[in-house]
Amino acid sequence: MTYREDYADLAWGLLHGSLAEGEKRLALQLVASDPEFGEALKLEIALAKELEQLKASMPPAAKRQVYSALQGTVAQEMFKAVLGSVLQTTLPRLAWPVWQIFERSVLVGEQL
Amino acid sequence: MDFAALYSEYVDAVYGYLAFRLRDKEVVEDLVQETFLAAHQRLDRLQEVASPKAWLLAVAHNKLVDYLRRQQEHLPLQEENLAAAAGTAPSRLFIQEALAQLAELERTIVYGLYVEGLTYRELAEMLGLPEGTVKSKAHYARKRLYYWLQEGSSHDLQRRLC
Repeated sequence: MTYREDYADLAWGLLHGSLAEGEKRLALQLVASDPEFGEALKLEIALAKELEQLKASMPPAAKRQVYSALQGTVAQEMFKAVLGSVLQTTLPRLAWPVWQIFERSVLVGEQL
Repeated sequence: MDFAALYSEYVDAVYGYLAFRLRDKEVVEDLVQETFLAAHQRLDRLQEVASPKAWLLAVAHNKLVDYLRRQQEHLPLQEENLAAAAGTAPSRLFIQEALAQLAELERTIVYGLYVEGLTYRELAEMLGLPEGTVKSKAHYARKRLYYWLQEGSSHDLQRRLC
């Protein structure tokens, strides 16, 4: 192993565009003057290229399915919240436990 | 950014990370759904976040940790996990071999840095670790991967020459 420890970080930062202006200047100077940094940069490029292959996309059908499930869940939660607050103010206190039983048995069943 | 735009922009990043860590695609899709549901519930807060991707990946990571805790079945990242995450092209075995030598935390850090382009700070927030720990783990992982790359390349060259 010939590269210097801090060179790896600098090379990674240069490739990912995350260096501050001073660091960037230093890195560019090192590219021209230090073969060790050149080596670190080459390794970083090779590593980035290899690791890029791990990037996975969600299959379009699964994307659509999850999105529509999300919309369903969000709508159901909004419905429960709105209906719950409306009933809380309109239902007599005694009827409240009945609503809760209804909510558990019907709405949870729908979710399944 | 509205919810539909958020979903379409970042669903692949969230899915990619979860698929990298888990084998079961149904569980991955469930966790994607849970992540975006949490995002929907905190949409106002999300408008103020510097990097929505890092924030979503942190939520996904927490959902994953919860899931694994519930399951008590932490599946180490084996070759088949990686193959499932990245497809099965033979060239990908090369990188799988290298990542298999790293501890899971290091693999996650490497994935975050190189595949998702997160910063050390974003990764530290995502994993709930000090930034210095993430940096030192990244240094160690890099060292191993560099070594593997150099060795791998020379083996590959030898193979081609034979």
